[in-house]
This record gives sequence, C-alpha cells and structure tokens, in this order.
Amino acid sequence: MQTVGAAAYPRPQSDLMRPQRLAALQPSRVSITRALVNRMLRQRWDISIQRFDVDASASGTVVYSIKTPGQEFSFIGFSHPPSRKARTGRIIGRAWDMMGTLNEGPATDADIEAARRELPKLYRGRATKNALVWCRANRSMRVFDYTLSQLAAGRQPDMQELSQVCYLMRNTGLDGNGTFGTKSFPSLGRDHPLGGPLQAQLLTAYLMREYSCDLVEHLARLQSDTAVSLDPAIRRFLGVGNGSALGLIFFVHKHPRLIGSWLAAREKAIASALALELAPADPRVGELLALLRRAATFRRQDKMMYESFASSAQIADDVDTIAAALERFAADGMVDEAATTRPLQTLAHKFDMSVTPEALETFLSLVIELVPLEADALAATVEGADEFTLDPTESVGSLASHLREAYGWALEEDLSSPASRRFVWYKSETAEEPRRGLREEVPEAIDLGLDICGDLQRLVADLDAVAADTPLSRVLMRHPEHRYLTARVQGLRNASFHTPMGNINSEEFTPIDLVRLMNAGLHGIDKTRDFLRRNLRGVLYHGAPTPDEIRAGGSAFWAYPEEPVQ
Amino acid sequence: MNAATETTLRVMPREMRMMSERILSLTGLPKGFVLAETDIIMLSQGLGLGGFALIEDRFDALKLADPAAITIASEDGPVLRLDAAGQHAWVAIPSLLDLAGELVARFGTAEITVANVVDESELQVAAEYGRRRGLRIALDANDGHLLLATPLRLAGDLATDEPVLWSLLTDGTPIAADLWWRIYERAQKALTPDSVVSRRHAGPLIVNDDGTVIGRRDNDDETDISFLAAPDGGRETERQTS
Repeated sequence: MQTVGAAAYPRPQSDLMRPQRLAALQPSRVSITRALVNRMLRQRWDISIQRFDVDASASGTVVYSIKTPGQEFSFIGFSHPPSRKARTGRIIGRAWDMMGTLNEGPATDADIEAARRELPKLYRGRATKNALVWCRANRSMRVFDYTLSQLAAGRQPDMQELSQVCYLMRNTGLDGNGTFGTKSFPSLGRDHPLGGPLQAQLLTAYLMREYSCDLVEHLARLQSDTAVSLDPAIRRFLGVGNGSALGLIFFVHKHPRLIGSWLAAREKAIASALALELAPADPRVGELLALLRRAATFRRQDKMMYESFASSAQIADDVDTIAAALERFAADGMVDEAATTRPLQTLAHKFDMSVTPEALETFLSLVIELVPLEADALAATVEGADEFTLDPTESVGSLASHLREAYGWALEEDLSSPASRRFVWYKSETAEEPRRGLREEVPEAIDLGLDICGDLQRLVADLDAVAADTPLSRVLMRHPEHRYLTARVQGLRNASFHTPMGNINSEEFTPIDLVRLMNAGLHGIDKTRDFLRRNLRGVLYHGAPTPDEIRAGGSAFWAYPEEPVQ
Repeated sequence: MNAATETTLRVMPREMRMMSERILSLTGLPKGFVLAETDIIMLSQGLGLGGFALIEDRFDALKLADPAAITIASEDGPVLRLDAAGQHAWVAIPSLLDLAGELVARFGTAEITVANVVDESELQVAAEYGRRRGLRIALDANDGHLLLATPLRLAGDLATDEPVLWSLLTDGTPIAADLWWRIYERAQKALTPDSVVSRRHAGPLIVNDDGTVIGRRDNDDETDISFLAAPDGGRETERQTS
C-alpha cells in the first residue's frame, strides 16, 4: 500500500466503505459497461440488424445478430406502440414500448415465436433454454417524439433538446441469471464472451441503445421519403436511459464478494497509476490533462438537476482546478512549489479534502487510463460467488475477536433510538418492487433487508455468553438465527472490501448513496440524477462507439462525450 | 392426470432459492436460518427427493419448526447421537453438517445418528450438501438415520465438487407446471400487498391523497399519476391491456 500523507491507496475499508464515499465513485475504465465496450472494440464484435419489421404505428419485430470471436448471440425485440396508461418508469408499470430477449446463437423462427408468446407473460412466462436476459424498455416520449418529427422533416434534432435527457429510450428491466428460466450465469464460465458479472445484462442495454436509434430512424423513414438519419456524432452522443432504485441495496448486500472484488480492482488500478513516476514532458501527463479538460467540459455541458449531490458546475470547477495544478507540473515539474517525481500521488493528496468528492473521484478514475493493460486485466478478475460456507470448527473467541476488529463500526452503532430502526425494507406483491417505508405504515411487511448492525450486535452478545473455546457448531445449535451471518462473516474474512458501513433501517441512511455506487461506479452510468434520496435516472453508454465503429476496432477514449456542434 | 399436470417447467436455481426463501419466511424459522435452508430444498428437488412437492405437504408443520429444539443426546469421540426432537430432516441438516465438520476436523471421521426426525429419507440431501464443506457423507444402507462422514478433498471446480448443483445451474430441473405455480402463489404471500401508501415507498414521485405530487418531474418516464394513486385501477388496466 502506498502512503501519501493522509491518503493511502488502496484506501482502507474505513474510508472507502462509507456510503458517502461510495456514492462519489465515478465511472472508469473498470466500470462494467466501459470494460465491455472496450473489449468489444478490441475484439471487433460484429453487431448487425437481421430483421426490422416494424410498421408506422411502431408495432413489429426486430432481430439483431451479435458476433463475437468465439460465439454468436441474437437479440429479439418486439416493438409496441406507446401507451400512456399504467405507464411509469417503475417496475410496477404495465406499459412497455419494447420487450426483448438476448439469446445464445442465431435467432431461429422457433426462438422468435417462443419469445413473442412468453415475454408478455413476464412473471408467468418461461424463457427458452438459450435465453440469457429478458428486457423491457420505454421511450422518453418527449425526446423520442421530438427526434422523430425532426428526422421526418429532414432535419437533425436540436442538441439543446436532446441534451436535456441524452437518450431516446430507457431501460425498465433486465432479468437474467435464472429468472424466468433464463440461463444461470455461473454456468457460463469465465471463457464465455458474457461470462463476467453483469455482462449479459449490460450488453442487452447496449442493444437497447442501438435499437432506440434504429427505431427512430426507421419510423421517420416510414413517415417521409425525405427523412434523414441521425447525424453519426449525435447518434454516438445518445446513450440509453436507466432507472435504478432500492433493489440495488438488496443487490449490494446479497453480493458482497462481487462488490468487494470490483472495488479492490478499481483501487489497485488507481494505486498503480498514482505510483507512476512521470517527468513533466512525459506524454502521459498531457494525455491525462486532456482527459481532465474533457471531463470538465462534459460536466459544464451537463443540464441535469441534482438534489443531494454536488452540482456538475461545481465538479467542473474542481476538475479544472486539478487540471491547472497538473498543467503547472507539466510546465516546471512542481506541485505546490515542490518538485515531485510522482505527481499523481502528490495531486491526489493535495486535493483529497479540498475538492468535491466527485471531482477527486473523477481524477482517480481518469488516472486509471494511464495503466490500461493493468486496468483491463484487473477488470477481468472481478467475480463473486454467492454461496457462503460455514466453518463450524472456528471457536467463539476467534469469531468474536474478528467481529470486534472488522465490524467495530456496526457494533458501535447506537440502535437504542426509534430513529435507528424507523424503516422496513420489503417487496410489493405487485411486480415485486423493492420498497422502503416507515414500519408503522406497513406493519404487515416482512423485513427483507440485511440488518447488519442489529444482527452483528446480537451475534456478539450471544458469543460473549459462552466459553471462548466453544466451537461454533455448538453455539449455532442454540442460536440458529445467527447461521447466515456467521457464514457471511467467515466467507468475507479475507476480502478487503465487502459491506458498506451503514444501518439501512435508520432515518440517517440515504439509499441513493449505494444506488449511485452501483450505477455510476460499477455500471459506469453518467449523469445520475437523484430523486427523493432513493431513485436515480442516468445515461448508459453515453458517447459509446456505434456498431460500425466497434466493427472497425480501436482503443480511443470514448467517454465524457462533448455535445456535437450544430 | 389432466393436461396441466403433464406439463413440466425447467426451473433454475435462482428461482428455486427465491421461492423457498419466501415460503420459509412465512414459517417461524428465523431469517438467518432460512437463508441456510434454501439450497437444501433445491438439492432435494435436484436429487429427486421430496423437493417442492414436500414443502407443500409439510408447510403447516414447518410453521412450527424450531431448530433450537435439536440437541445432542450423547457423544463419545467421533460418535454422536443427535435428537432432532421431531423436527423435519431439512431443519436438522444444518446442525448435522456443523457437527460432522467439527468431528471430522477433530477425529478424522464422524458417525452421527439422527433420532426422532421427520422425513428421514431427506437426510440424503446432507450427503450432497456436505460436499461444499469438504465432507464425504454416506448414509448407512441398513439404517437411514446413521451418517458416516470423512474428509473430501475439493477440486475447486464446481462441476466436480458439487455435481448436483452444477447440473441444476447448467440445465435446471423439471418441475410439474401446476406444482410450480402453486409454489409461486404461496411464495407471493411473503410479499406485501399493494396499496396507495405502499406505492409511496418507492419511485421518483410521491402522489398525495389530494392528488398533488412530491418530487421533480424531470424523470422522463411520463408516469401515469392515476396509476400510482389507484393500485386497484392499475390492476384493472393490466387486465384490459393483457
């Protein structure tokens, strides 16, 4: 671990696992969408339309082929005319403008007909054996309709309008890994093109993005002989929308190995980059400077409104401040009047507490671009099995000692006040929507949340009541309620990172913090607008290369797109 | 047998784990114990034992399940007698495996008799589930209550270490459609009925009783406010559009 004054990288759990810190993490080369697209570029995946039978009302069937070096996949989508009834971005909605499936292998007529029959049944439907992901998407009606009208009129849409949202359609559901009978991802294996965590879901999201652009162009052509296609620069700028909310807190708690593995990969990549010895004239200094300026411009052009998070204008100012300091280093080799051979470490230390956390994390994400091979290799190591195996031979004293050492934050949490247990986490019978409400408002709800603080405190109390040399096998007979947590704690013992340090039942807990960890940091979503401290809307694949560009290959940095000039 | 019962579904581990977790959360079993039970029921199904049909049959009894009632009746070195106190075999298996693991670590072998257990044939699940812990477990051919455990060297490869789980992950398991949908319906009871108040517990907007809305409207989802304010109306819409 390298130490730079107060800041050390990889950062300790006590710093990194604070929800407020996790919420500030920014998209980076190790975010799953960015790593996936970079791999698609390296391997020149071939994505093409096989069928686009959609009528002027937007009703019809589409099929895409995705050829990777070793395997072909197909995306089968069904377009529906938009309905305003029962429409909502929430999972409880019943109006979807597109439903689709990502399958292994080329699409057959049988695959298409099975999907046509089963997808609308949703929870009562059954996927074919080659199905990886089922998905649903809705238009941003205003932006989609506006873009359609402009293209049909032979004009490009105005960026002032598009940049209010930055997408035409939004993901409203990605279900895989066994849901509805889809394939289990652990069975795919690491050598499978989509064998890494969340790869199949996020490839499906990329296809949603392509579909949204193809659909608007197709409908425009049906409306007018003089319709034009989207300008390639605009098409590249547009991503696909994404709405996320409370379900991701369940995900974070249920997949601590995956979260920890990804955080460890990101922190290692940052540490490697910060340790680079760089002379002022090193081209990598210039490269980073250009990336910082690009990120600042991206933030300045961001028109989204944020409730709980720092404004993009503030972040842009802070990123420019960091860039200016790097620029001074490039000029004279000095940071704060002192010569340094590791300027990135020095800058990380200098700005650790003096800029917005999002600006610091933007800098840290961008330094990863200076160690691309190592970062890509680290991203490929991200994994996390769900199963925990209990070790019944461990002694009570050993486990209690570990708990006090590793979970002091949870054991010290004051759970005596009503405010500390004010909320209950549950799922609705309708569409299994994850919800969080005041306990008195839903007294019938079964609490599905992980009460990590309360459960750990009760576990320690029961461990302390028996002799220290007692094996856990004997204690768990008397206290079966501790079985899962004991296995979880044991299974995560060697992980540097795993559990966010927060009591999710408390009124002080801000759900959106962990939603943003997942969306911005892990998924790589930009412009994550927050609503009511619990929902996020953001843009996936913002600026990502189009299928033509992927087919051509390349390694250029594509994120933080600048608005196309008109 | 009618047409519905002749139809089988291919059900995957994620679904089996979710359904058994939800159903068992409706019993008196503590949450921290339920999460250790889901793979036991899944493996029971995968091994062709009672599985989900048995969870239906035993649901009322499982409501009264009390894993803490299980005790050690006698113990002499690697030989142990477990009194399951009338609990179901699925409820006894976690403690059985813990004790087997402890004794194997201490003595190199374990010989455990499980007395007073319901559905003793389900103890066969312990043989498969024990593999994950590095235990080779055999049931005595003449006495289904007696289990012999020795160390099992794990290869680090799921297909080799846990062949039943691997088979389930790769191919799923066939389950009669009508049984599965009954299981699904029962599991739904662990979820909370929808209501206007409950709908305020998620989403980017909150619709008040007077129809006013809390929250910004720049969420681009063109939400049908009447749908959020009237779950019953929403279900009606669902039926009309399906």
